[in-house]
Amino acid sequence: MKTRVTLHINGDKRELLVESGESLLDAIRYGAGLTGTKRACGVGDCGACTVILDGEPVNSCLVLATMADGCEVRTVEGLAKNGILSGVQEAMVKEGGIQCGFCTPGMEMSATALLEQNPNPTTDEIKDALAGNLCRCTGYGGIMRAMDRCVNRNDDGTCSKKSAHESFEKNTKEKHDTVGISIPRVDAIDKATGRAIYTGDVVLPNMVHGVIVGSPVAHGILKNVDTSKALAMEGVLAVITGKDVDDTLYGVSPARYDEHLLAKDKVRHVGDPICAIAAIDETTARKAMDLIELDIEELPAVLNPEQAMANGAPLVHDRFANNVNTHVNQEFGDVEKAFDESYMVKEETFTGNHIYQCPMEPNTSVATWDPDGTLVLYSSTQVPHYVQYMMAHVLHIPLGKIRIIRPAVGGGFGGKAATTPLDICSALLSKKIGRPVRMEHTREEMFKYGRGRHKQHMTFKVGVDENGVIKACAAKIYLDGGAYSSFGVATAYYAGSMMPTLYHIPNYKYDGFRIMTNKPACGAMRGHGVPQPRFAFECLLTMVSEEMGIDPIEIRRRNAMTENTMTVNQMDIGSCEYLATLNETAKEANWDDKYGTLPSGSGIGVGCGGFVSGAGYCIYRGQVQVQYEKQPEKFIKKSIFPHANAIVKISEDGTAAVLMIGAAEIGQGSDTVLTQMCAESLGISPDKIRIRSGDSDISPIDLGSYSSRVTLMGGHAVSRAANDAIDKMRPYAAAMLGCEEDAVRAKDGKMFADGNEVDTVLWEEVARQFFNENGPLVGTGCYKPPDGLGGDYKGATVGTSPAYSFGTSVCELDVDMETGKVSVNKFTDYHDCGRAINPQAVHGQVEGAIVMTTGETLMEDVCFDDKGQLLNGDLHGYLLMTIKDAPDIFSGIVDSYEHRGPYGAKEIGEGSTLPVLGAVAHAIANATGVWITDLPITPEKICNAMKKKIAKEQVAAATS
Amino acid sequence: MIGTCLGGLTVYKPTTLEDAFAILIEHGSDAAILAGGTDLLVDLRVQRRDEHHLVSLANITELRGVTETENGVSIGAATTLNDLLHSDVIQQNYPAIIEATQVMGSNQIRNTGTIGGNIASAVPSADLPPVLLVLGAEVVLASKDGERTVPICEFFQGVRKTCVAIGEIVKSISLPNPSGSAVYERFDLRQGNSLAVAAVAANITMDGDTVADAKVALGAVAPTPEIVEGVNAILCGNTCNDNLVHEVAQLATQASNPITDLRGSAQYRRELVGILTTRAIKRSVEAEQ
Repeated sequence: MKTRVTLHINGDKRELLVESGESLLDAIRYGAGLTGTKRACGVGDCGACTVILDGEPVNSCLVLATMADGCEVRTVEGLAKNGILSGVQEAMVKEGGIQCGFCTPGMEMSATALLEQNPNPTTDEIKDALAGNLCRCTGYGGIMRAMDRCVNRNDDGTCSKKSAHESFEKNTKEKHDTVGISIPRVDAIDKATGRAIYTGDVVLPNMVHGVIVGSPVAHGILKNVDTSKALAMEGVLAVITGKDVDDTLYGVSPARYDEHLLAKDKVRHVGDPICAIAAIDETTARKAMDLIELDIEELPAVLNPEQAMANGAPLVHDRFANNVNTHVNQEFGDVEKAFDESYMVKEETFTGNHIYQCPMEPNTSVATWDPDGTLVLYSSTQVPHYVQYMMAHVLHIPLGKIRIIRPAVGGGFGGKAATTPLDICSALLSKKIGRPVRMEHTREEMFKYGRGRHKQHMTFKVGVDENGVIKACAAKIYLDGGAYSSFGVATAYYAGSMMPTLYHIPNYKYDGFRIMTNKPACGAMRGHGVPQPRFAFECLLTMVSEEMGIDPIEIRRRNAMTENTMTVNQMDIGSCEYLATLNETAKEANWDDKYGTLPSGSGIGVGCGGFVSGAGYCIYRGQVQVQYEKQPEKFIKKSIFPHANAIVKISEDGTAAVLMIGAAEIGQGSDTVLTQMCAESLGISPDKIRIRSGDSDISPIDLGSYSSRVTLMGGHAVSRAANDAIDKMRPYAAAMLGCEEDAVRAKDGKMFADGNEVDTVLWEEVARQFFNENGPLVGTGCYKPPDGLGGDYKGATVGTSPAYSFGTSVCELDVDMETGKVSVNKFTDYHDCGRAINPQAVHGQVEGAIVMTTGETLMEDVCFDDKGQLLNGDLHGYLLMTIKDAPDIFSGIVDSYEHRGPYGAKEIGEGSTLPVLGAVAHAIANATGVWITDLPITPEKICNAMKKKIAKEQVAAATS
Repeated sequence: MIGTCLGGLTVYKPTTLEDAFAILIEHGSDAAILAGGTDLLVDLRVQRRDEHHLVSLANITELRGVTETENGVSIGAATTLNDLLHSDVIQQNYPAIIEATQVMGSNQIRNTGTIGGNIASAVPSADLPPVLLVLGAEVVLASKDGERTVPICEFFQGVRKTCVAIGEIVKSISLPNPSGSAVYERFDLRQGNSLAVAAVAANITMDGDTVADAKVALGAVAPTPEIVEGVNAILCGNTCNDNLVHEVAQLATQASNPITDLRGSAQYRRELVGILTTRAIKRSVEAEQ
């Protein structure tokens, strides 16, 4: 039933016709067209849809539009007045409170309501008001600084509270105008005001809605799909099943494509896509899902590696015997001999958890076909190029006939690093019915699609000499892969390959098994494969140090990786300031005073880690071309094509530059740092540059935002493109300046001869001169990783990179010794990310990683019942840390310069997660006397371990 | 249209209780009462409930607000959780209500969620019921046949089940004048916006150094929130020492009947009951002194 309601939205009277069951959120987004208000969970758990209703912030998803009839509604679009940002918005922009921006509108509405009611809230009052707004990117650090700025505003508008950041000025190796400066994000204002368009905000004329019906069971033979009742429903436009698609398999690792577009014969996990429905609206499409009749013969499911590898266990895929998807077997040096020669050898087992990236923005796709047969696909993806490649593969059309548009992306963390069933099905449905099709996952569907972190079952053994110097390490890991290969082959290799990059390990052995199970496929989550093994190794090393009476930071100093090292597994380490991160963190955290002196229930712990700055090789082999048209190529240790490519086009009047590169801004800030490097290379201000990174028709290929590659690889391409443009300007500038072409320098919008900054010509005048003579002034640049990366053993490519990051975290926390509840109070972190292009963005990555990964260590775990049914596919069962849970964080950057990186830069996004798990686990052990080696470290596990310890001690006391 | 709306719903916005009763009777078990909607709309969306006729209480003004009465206070069922937090009389006389309310959900949830909904949903982990139990609250139920008053301890009948009959509406919650010092202890897995894993409310009244009256109630550890029987027998007339508190904690542990779920095992929850009971009693006694 439709009723007419009057909403006073941001002062505008809006008369809307709404369904009785329609939420205020949908009425605002789609009725009034104000898409700044976001839908991220739909059940009041996340706060992304917060609006101010008659003066109070509410979750608009939990208010019926009809109940708001006659009410005043304020949304993010109403905060700025006459184009001037509100205080909250301005503070969020300036203090780095915004990354992906998906939580930002809701966060700003909660903050605005608080400050209007209470202009001087305490820190606790701020946290209480914002605890219903989940943020997955920032770790709440920038948000708290923004709130402090609003509350403690000085006359000059600056924040009276000092940011807990190490000043960057100590890096003196180079001075730049733009690089190394914390300019606000180039997309911050769009995100602060609700102007930013995400895929779910895209509305095309004549657009309809699609949904995917997934398997209700974890494992079964799909006998029949009866779509007749659904097709007969009014408003349903098309249904496609496995019978309507060809046998093409797709996936991520080309050797392991194992996913059908829609299930053909079997279903392998709950949620496995079976059919797709298009209908005139989302409600109809979802209603039609109930009318699909499935005939499935249920098979026994295997739900963990042990079950899956047992004799006679049912096979998830016939092609993977014993459900072993991949087996890695690597040995470098002579591990057994080294153990024999070790002073101390220690072995422990560790268990990880199933982590889901949980970006705030749901995966969304909108597909439409141009009359010339070009697919136009809007996708919330980290990897537009791989989506283009895979769509070409599944649709059997050339890449040239596919245009990928990547609108603003609300976080990824690896969860959007592959082509999704939404990408594929929206394209297929759109083709079939000749209308644009939009598809969006619900929060539960996101969990069922999966691609989160592999749960790993690990045994680590380490041998050290009498000084704690590592002689050998052996790891055996079973990765619970879920039902499809996805990134899993690479994950299995990564799990082992990164261990020798942090410490000098002369003898190293790794046995890895990725096992298929009847759960959603696991993929590449932030830190790809490495965080759990790193957790295990860090815990083990700390255990060893404590048993030997060596300080845990000291044992790390004795083993720390050093610059210009070829590791035992042929990883080529360039710059390395790992030791500096250890020393600076220890100093800042007062480690020497605190470690070993804290009372029971208080703990301090250390953990370390680092990561690649971009994968050395492309995911697929050969050139950019549909796979079946290419000759199978033998792998050679060389990039066939450039992994990052950029074009800089100068406006005809010389006053602006458009930077085109297909690098995916997903919230991490790549648009901003690429703009900064472009500005620096051009010698003009970054506000003269507009970056266009979201459209494959405009921007050349960049492989995307995975493996922490964009700053280094995209940065090179961008600065080379800018230098190319400058080179074209040189003759004109030289003529005007009367100097040699080589002597021409560009800075601050001026050009001058080297050494003479007094006699200048305007940069834009030189550009105009070029245009007058030659037409468009365009520079191009590209980047290929160095040839020859990696050794010659099987899997040697995984873990190769032009550069590696390093970092140290110290965690301080309290444990309730009765209940086991942990309160994380403080983190101190120093990172070697090379030269920081934008320090605020670096700190934002570190803070976000610390909070995300602390949550991963303490409370996150995707759970399934004994039938493989998902138990917590929502944000009240799967717990992300709130602003109240987030610790205070000190983030510092050590002085470092990577000669292989643009302007000396390396990565920060993934490496920053790696120290966290071990630091938290160690701090808990330090507080309680018990090590929990099984993630997540819940209060219950801590409690049980403490009881066990006491019981053991009592037995020991009684027997002695 | 994009977005998913709940299909086949009719929403009624009566302005009087009488009109509300009529609609409820007409649609019987296919009708549901819409207060804050923070439970109901979620339940409808995840298909835990399937009523098609929603009767909103929003326009029945008499249902909202805290009124002081001769014997205590009367809290309208549609009073929001943030109304409670901001109520002077609640802050002054019933601080345990504040303790339980401020840990509930998020600020957004507290702006829409109501006290009536918190009890009428009868979710085992609800925060207010244990406090209402130790405060001796009564629930006023209204129907076309008039009103009846039910002690809160008789209100809950199972998981998501109450004594509210078809055609009845929770009208208000009455609290007697405060006696003793009620407190609320809760264990949860996250600092903000989380659900109780185990919860204990205690209300001790001291007469000098001895306990004059003691009530302990449990939440989230049984199908319904419940008063622990036999606490007075242990504490009443005695000074409150560690041994007696321990005895009560054991009694509470035995009285609990928790389930194992993602938030904790039954065994762990029982342990939490003991820990929280001890803390609650000690804090209540301290507040009395």
